[in-house]
Amino acid sequence: MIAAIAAQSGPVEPLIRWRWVGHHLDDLRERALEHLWLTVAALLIGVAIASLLASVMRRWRWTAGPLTAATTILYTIPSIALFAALLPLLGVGYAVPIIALSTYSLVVLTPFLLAAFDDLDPSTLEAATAMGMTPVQRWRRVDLPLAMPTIVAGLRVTTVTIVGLVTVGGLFGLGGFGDFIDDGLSRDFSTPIVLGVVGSVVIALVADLMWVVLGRAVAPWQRDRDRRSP
Amino acid sequence: MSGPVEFLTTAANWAGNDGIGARLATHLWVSVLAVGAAAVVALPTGIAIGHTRRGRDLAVAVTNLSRAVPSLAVLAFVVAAGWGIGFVPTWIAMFALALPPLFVGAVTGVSEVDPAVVDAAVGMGMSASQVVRSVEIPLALPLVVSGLRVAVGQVIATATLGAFVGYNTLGRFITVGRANGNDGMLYGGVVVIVALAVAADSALQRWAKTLRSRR
Amino acid sequence: MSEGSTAGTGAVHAPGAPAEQELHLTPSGSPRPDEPAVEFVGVSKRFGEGAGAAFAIERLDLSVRSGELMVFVGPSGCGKTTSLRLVNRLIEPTGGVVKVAGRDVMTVPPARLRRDIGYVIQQAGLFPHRTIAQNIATVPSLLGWSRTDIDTRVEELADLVGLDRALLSRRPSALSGGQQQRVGVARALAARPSVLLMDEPYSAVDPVVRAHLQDELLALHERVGTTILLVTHDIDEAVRLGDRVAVFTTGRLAQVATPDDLLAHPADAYVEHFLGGDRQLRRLALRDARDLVLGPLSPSLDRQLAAGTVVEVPVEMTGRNIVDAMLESGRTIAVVVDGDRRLGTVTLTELTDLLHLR
Repeated sequence: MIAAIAAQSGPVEPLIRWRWVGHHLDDLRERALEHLWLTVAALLIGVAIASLLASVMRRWRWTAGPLTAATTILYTIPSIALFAALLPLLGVGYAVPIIALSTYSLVVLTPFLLAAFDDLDPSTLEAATAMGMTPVQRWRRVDLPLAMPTIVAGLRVTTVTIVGLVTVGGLFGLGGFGDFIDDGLSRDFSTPIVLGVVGSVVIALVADLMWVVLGRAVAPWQRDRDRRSP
Repeated sequence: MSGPVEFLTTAANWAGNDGIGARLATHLWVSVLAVGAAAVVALPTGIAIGHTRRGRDLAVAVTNLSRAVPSLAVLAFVVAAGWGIGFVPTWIAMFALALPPLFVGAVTGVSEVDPAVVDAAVGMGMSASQVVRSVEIPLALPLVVSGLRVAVGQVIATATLGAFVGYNTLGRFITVGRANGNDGMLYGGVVVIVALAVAADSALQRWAKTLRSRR
Repeated sequence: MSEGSTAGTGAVHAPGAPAEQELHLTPSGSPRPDEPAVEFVGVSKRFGEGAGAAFAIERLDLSVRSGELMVFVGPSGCGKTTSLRLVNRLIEPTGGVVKVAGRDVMTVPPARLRRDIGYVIQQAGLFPHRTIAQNIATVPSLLGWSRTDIDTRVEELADLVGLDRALLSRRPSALSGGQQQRVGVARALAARPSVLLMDEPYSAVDPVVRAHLQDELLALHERVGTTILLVTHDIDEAVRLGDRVAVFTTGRLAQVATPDDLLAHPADAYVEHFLGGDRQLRRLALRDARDLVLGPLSPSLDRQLAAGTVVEVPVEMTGRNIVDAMLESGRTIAVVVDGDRRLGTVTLTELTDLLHLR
């Protein structure tokens, strides 16, 4: 089918020119590393801030309403809009992608962290307290391990979201595999587009599978209920 | 920031083929077509799988895995493959984006209906199709709607990408504004997109709330 | 509730030595025999503040003897569970003093207090992420017992509560409700607590399993002799299990008595109504045939048996079963037999007299 369409449009531009790829292997490696480190950095910053936010929301219940509302509004801002809005302010560089990606990562992760601890069975927790665990012991031995499956599910969604958003950032020349796509689209050249597409999909799928495996590892007591909120 | 205010309050910017009105319409048009088509595909299959529960876990797992594929990758691939530019890649990418939340919402919604209720319905002599129509679907509706809410939210936000493949959605103000160094247009476009996303989300949220309170 | 107190407890015990004796709350290491194991002195608990405040318990006075199985019974909202939770400080009193082994619980750091008080709840409250063995070992490991001591103790407890050792490496989800409840009891007893609290332990299991678990609890109590406070809303369970039964009505005690006393002499109309009908038959149900053998074996017994003027009853029966056997056979004399051995006789008149002895 691809061939048929290509045939109709006259001179046959192959989906991918391997020679071009061969000449750009260094570029490919650089973009891949950039994509990876942007993702990891945004994830780490997001985890730190989301943990803080979730702790505050659980410690002072009245903050939960306003903070949730704030993160929900942040979430409705389309990523392109956020990239575009930040660019003129901060200029091209890593500040824009890091700030934008961290924002999304904390916005996606915070509700998972809240739910992870709020949904624990109160009778299990009470049993732990009644057996003489101090708050710190209980948190380490009971709350945290039981919350892990939901936390990992949250990290999974967050990681995949960020990998995708790094790609979008590439459209603004902000690094990662998106740069290939930007390049390809701007001069109607399919090879870099395909490289960018395949690269970002591979990273996303590998990250996703990694979390699935990790999720099973941290919760051997429950069959993996692979359910994300719709 | 007089830029975006000026851009948005200038009547001329709203009219014409390049105006805010036309691009808003384009943006909504592709969003509605994509979400509608995805619903036509995802809801019946999701309800069927949720009802029989056969292959449910696998279907949900595969669907969730498919969510890992970035929309931009889909969009770019369609262009690279030469299937077209403009509407076609945008629609395909938005369709693919809307599919998973709608499908998972329907599957979990139906399959998590209290088995005792379904039992009672069967016990009162309802046929399988009656059970689906008058018990499972109404009870699944809140989850289906929250799936729809996610789908619409993501599609409206992401349809912006169409501008990068020659489709004149609201994202066009961002690409053109950036290319021409017109920050007023860029931020104006951002404001319109955010407003649209917030409006759509709160409308669906209100609908979901009415559905829940009606139970 | 500080980490400091925990560290302190850990430091006292030389690693490897199960130093549970040191844990006991009394300075001497074991309670004096005459000292109440648990004592409520004018205890009140009010929930809420100001005008909306409501007393869950008002001026409760009660003492539980060491080694006693005391049952708190009453309708929901009567304060029985609140009273239980005051003992391990899951709730703190508004007024009065709760003492465990002679010490005001408010003067003992909660974590330390609770490690010496076993606690069993309705759904067992097992940790789903830990194996059965790890669940049972919770308190010993908090106390810093050595690996080998813990392993020995865990197996000992599995045997004690009648749990197949093969299940020790499984996780709670693999167990039935009854088995989970057994694990809950084993876990609560692991560090040889001075008191065991049980909050509606059997209300989530089916009647057959419940009867089994009740029997097991009685046997276990006989063996380990731990003081037990058990909360239930089921008066039959209360009468069946309790050495004494405390009947609660909203926030106060209506009566504290042995099951027999309770059934024989309800203090007021409330208790009488709560106890329900068949009180005398239920008193008989509390007595084993062995304890009821009143008359000697007369030489003419063979003849009487042959003539069918007496009825034979096995020793496993209760007084209630004997009356039933009499009613069914139309005889008023029963001879209690243990296998081939005859233990003695009991007559309907003797049973009637017994109920009016006091």
